[in-house]
Amino acid sequence: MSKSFPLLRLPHLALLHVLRFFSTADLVDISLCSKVTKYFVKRVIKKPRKLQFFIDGEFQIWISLRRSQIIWTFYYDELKENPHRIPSSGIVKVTKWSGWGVKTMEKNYQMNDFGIRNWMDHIAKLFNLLLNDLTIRDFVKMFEIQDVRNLVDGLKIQNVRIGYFIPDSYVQTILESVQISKILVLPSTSRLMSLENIKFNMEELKLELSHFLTIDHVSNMNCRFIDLGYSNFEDSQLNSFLKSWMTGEWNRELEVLRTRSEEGKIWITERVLNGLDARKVTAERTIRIKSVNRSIGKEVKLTPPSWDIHRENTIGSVIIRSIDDIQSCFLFCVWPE
Amino acid sequence: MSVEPEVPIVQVEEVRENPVLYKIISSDNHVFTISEHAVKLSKTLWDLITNLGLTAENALDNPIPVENVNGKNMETIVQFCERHKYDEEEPEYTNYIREFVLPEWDRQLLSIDNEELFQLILATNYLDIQKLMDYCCRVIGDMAKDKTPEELRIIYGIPTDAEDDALERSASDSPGPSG
Repeated sequence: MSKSFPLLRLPHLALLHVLRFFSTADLVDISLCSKVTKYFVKRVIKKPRKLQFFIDGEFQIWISLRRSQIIWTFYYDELKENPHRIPSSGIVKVTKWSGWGVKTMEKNYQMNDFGIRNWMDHIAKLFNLLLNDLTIRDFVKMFEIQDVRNLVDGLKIQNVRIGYFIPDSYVQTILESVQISKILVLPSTSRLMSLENIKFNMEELKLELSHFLTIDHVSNMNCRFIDLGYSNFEDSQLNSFLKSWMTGEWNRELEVLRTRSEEGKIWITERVLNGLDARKVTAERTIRIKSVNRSIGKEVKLTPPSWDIHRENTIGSVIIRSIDDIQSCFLFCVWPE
Repeated sequence: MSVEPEVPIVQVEEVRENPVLYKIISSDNHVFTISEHAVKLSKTLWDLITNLGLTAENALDNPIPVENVNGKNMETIVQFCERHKYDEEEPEYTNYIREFVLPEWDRQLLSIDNEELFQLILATNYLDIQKLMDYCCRVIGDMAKDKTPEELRIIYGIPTDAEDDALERSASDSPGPSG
């Protein structure tokens, strides 16, 4: 066996050219060897289309390339040994998958004292990319809450999806720790969550239950698209929400807000619009909203009757519809006059 | 200036179709003949030939000294260039980098010691032979396939950050040239 190939002794241009012949997974691995190799890899590695992090039965980082995916699965052996702490050493499994879902590569190796957060930061810096998606399922509740905070603290992420059956204290910790720019999907929370340190500044917020929110919380959100899911607001609370919108003191970005009442509760249009200068529109209209991503249509249909209220040069249309006389839907759409 | 080589001329391959031939002298005074089509694969050599105004008539009387490349590497380079002189250019270069498979003949040619491969890539870089550079890079890149970070550290002789820092400290502690 001949001795090492002295890669770092090559002239820089030649070295960069050599690195272009490495696969992405191999580039990530060699970037872990030293700061010097990381510096060179950063100059040649191609940006993936997507960078995702899953806390979903396993800790995984996914990158999506043009025709393949690479998945790092962390420290699964250590998780079995000590299921309450998020490990920082253990076996890393690296797999590559073709666009057809065929595994084309797998390697496993031991990493010591390099936590999962180190991995996330390393990969995000290497690709000069923000995390696109963070998906967290109830698997997370296995771990000490401080470990979870340390894992996600300060992460800037486009989209966060939080699963069912996660204790409020965990949800609260996660929402307090990360900065979400585009979409937050939060299916279930109870009334126990404190919102003091949580900012709803993402472009789109999708809840299944919003019982933990007051109407003031909703008024203070800064989202373009808000789906509150089921809420138990009173007519008068929706009325004060619309009044505060008309005064123009909050959320100038809002385009759509919708919610539905729980079964047995009907919202009465006259009460919701009480005291507002609202004009009834009997024609069907279609408005265009900016799209956060492709899953949201760019057009929203306003089926009659709708009620228009005004703020500066903006129209807000309200639609309240009863579903089988047992619950109601509330839709509020905003567009330029 | 006339150069009198002390070693015999190396005929790397029979040339065909009455080609124009050039003579190249390596740093250790080995002399090689190379056809015009083959030498064109080296941008450095072809620029030199063009700038020196060498023609079919005077080429063999004016050997080109290449002081940065020894005879062993030059022999490999001339063999490679003669082998690939009629190749067509690769169309989509970016995809080609990741996907092309090294032909068996070239894999054999480049099955050499790591230190020799290192010297060959320096020579190839100096002579600016894109195709041979790509082939050498493929060989070096293939060494990394499915290896772990620790294995990569050994294969490519990569110092740890601590070793790099120690080296830097010792370099800054040592006295400069003026003492």
